Formats: sequence, C-alpha cells, structure tokens
Amino acid sequence: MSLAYLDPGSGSLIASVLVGGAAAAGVAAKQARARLMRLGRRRKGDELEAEAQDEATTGEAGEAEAEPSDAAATRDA
Amino acid sequence: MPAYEPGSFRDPDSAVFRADGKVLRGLSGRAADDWDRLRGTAFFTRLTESGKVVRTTPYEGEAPPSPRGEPWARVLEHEPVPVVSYPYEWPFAMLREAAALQLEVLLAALDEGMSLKDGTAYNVQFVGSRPVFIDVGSFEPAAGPWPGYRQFCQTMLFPLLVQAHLGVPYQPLLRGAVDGLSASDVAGMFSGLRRFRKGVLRNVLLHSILERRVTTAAETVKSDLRTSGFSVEVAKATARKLLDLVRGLEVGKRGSDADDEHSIWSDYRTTCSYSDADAKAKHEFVRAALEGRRSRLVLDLGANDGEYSKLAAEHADHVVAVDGDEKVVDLLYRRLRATGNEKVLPLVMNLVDPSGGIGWRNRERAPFVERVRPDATLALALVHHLTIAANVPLPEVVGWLADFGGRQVVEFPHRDDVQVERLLANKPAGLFDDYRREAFEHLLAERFRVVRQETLPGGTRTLYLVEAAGA
Repeated sequence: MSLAYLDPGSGSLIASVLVGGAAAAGVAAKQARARLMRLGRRRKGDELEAEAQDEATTGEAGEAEAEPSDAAATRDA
Repeated sequence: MPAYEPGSFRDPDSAVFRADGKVLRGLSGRAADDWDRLRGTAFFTRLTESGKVVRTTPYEGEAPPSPRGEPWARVLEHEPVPVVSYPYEWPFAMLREAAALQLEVLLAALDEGMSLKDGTAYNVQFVGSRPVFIDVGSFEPAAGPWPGYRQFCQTMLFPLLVQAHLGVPYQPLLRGAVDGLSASDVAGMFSGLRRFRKGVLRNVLLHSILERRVTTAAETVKSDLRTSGFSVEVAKATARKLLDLVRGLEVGKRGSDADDEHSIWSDYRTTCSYSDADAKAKHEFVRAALEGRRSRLVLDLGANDGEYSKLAAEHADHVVAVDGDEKVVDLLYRRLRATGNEKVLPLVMNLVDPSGGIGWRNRERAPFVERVRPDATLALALVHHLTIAANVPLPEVVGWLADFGGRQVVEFPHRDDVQVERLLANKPAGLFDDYRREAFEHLLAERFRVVRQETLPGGTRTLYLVEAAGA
C-alpha cells in the first residue's frame, strides 16, 4: 500500500524514470507495453462480451484471442 | 502549551511541535512502523553521526494529541537547529549543497530499501555552513519511482537551473511561491539553444510536456511501473543522474580561481573608504563590545564578506550574517564551508524587504524577524545605505534596530564621509538634511542606553555600543 501523502503528479513520475537514463529506458518500454496489454485486455473483454451476446442469439461461441492483436496495438500506440 | 510547527501540517502521519524548549515529532502508527525500520538501518546511523541527518532520539515524556485530535503512536525528539532559514534566503552554492544532500540521503536510503516521501527544499536546514536533513518523517519503504521528484525539481533543481543557465536569481521566485517553480513556467524561460543546456531537456521540457499530456492517475502509473519490473535500481539511477547534474551546476566562474565575475559589493573590502587606522580601530571597538559577554546569537546586518561575523563568532554560539548581495553571500558561504564553519549562517536578504510569512495562512514559513531573535546585533556601515540610498527615515531605522533588542554596535558615517557624499550626490539637494550625527544621537538615546562611543581616526565615522531597554 502506498503511504504517499502528496500527489507526485503522473507526468512527473514518468519524467523521473526517464531521467534515470539507460537503466530506466528498459522499464519505460516495458511500461508502454504493459499499457498496451491492459488496453488489449480491455478490448478482449469487450469482444468476449459481444461474443457472449452473439452466442446467445446464434448459439455459436467465438474464439477469444490470447494476446491483443497487432492492429489493436498499432491503433493504441 | 505545545506549539505545532505550522510548516509540518502537510504530512498526516507526522507533525513537529515545540514543547519545553524541545523540538518533538509525533508519529502515526504507520509512521512509527517506518521509524522502527529506519532506526535499524546502517545508513541512518551513519548519516546521523556525520551530521547529515538531524540527531533524533525516542521521547518518553508526555505529548499532546495530533492536530487531528488523535494520540501519537510514537514521539521523537530532534536536536534543534539554531536558526531556521529558508531556500529563498540561500545563495546559489548553499541551495546546491542542500540539493546534493537531499539526493545523497535518498541514495543512501535506496541502498537499504527505503526512500523519501517528498523532495522539498524545506527538508534541509543549515547549522552554520553545514546542511542537515531534518525531515525524519519522510523516510518510507521504497516502492516505485521517487514521489518527491516533482517537489525536488520545483524547489531545488529548477531554481538552480535558472540561476546557473539564465542568470536569473531564484530567491524572489521561491519567496513568491512556497511550492516553487512549475515545469511549464520554467520551460517558458528556456528558449532557442538554451534548451540544450545541461539538465534542461529532460527535467524541464520533457517534464512539462508529460505533466500536460499524462492524465492517467498517479496510482495507476505507479502500479504500471511495478508490473513493468520497476526496481529500486531505476530510482537509484534517477537519483544518481540528478546528483551528477546538481554537482556540475555553477554560476559563471564562481567555482574557479580566476573569478572574474564581480558584484558591486564583492570588491568592497579592497575598494572601501576605510584607512588602515580606521579599519583597525573599528575592529578593536567591535571586539571590545562583544568579548567578555558571550552571546547566544549575533545578527550581523549588511555583513558583506563576513569579517565581523567571523569576529563575532569568537564570542557567540551562533551568528547570522545577512546581506542583500547574493554574490558576496555566496562567496562567504563557500569560504565558510571550505573551513567547516558551523557557527556563521550566511543569508541573502534585502534588509528593506525582508522575508515575510508565506504559505498557508502566511504562517507555513515564518517571517525572518520571528525566526531570528538575536541578543546582539551589528549594524556596521549600514545606516547611510538605509536612509539615503533606500529612503528609510532615520527614526524608522533606529526604531527597526531597537526592535531587535539586546546589545548593538551601530556605525554612523557622518555627512562629510566620502561614501555618504557619494550617496547624497545622487539625490536632490535638501532631501536628507536631517541626516546628521546630532539627530542620530538624539534618536539613539530615545531607544537605547549608549554604553560607549568612538569616532574613528579618519574623523568621518562614529561607532556606538548601545543597549536596548531591558537588555
């Protein structure tokens, strides 16, 4: 649990990581990927919901993707 | 009745108060857990013993409830700082030293899995020329990026950058805003090629863009960073980069031997109007006034290169040396620091416009006159500047000095003194007809008891040793 009492500012948090330079670059890249993954999962959730509705009407289950598609990643980037 | 330090209200888990002449800090249950962890670390012991972090011990006496009316889980006692000063009173080298200390403390903490909750310049105080980290309540277990980075930028790094790269004095800016300079405001100050000066692109420009563009909640960013494998190593890399940057910042050529940057006052000692005989007599008068009666705190008003502050330090526990010229105070600080002086605190302040109360209810940071209560004051080569150059009426000047109380050494340069003639030459004739020795002595006698007086051999300056009523 975070004990921070002051709002460090979201942009400032990211800036502080970037100031770290090379060591931070890898983490920044991973963070960007994590955000894409999260957006992807959200989309996947939407798709599953839509498919569930489709299934209810057509009786045919769609196959959910395990990873977000490249197309989704490109759109979000 | 305990008095809560008005500057410590921001952290709900910790507050500083004064009781029975002691400086105490109350801790909530959460903060007490952090304290227990902190006191077991090697870095805390090391930094405390080397004087870099304020000496702190558990306090067993009775304590008042927190400002929120709850009992404290734990109370600590801090070694008091002799005179509280603020970053808008510090010259460049002093703020740089304070910033480096904050980062050094952060790095040492990160090495043992702890971090700092915040990064404000108000976490640091000075004992003479030695900076000391005072916010023991700021230590917490390290988790994610340093939350104090923005505060550090606003109150320490940005002020240093604008002074070093643009020649803009930061003192009025810090005094104007208790939270310091925002990234976007500072970004606007760096145009053209200046954007490529050391530390500006990332800490200022990129920072201001990210502040504007990133709207994700800070907690979400933090959890993203954690899931991305953010380790303490990255926080350390950030702190190390900042420390390198801060240590490399300099104003002009101040740090070099070939110091060719001059201010009006930095050459004062070599160009002033005192003959050797006058200087010697003045030195002896001040020494005689101070010796034999040790002072707790001497205030040296218009201290210049600190010659008399250092003399006063031989007969006092502490000395505050104030001058309006940042360059001379900066040079004085560097000399004091080089000799490890812990008695003389040099501060930049325009005496005609002293620091007032700022922040929440104008009480978060106290006015200069409330923080500095001397029992002896030096006002040497000062009265003519206040009256003739700054137009402060002579009775006002004497009344202002009397408010400081205690014993005082006051110098009055006569009308025919070469410096007074120079100042009068810039003013219309007849405006300062009341600037006369007789008028000054009359005013002095109304507010003080004159113990001794002596006119210097040159015959154009008189020194007075006076005692305020009740001193």
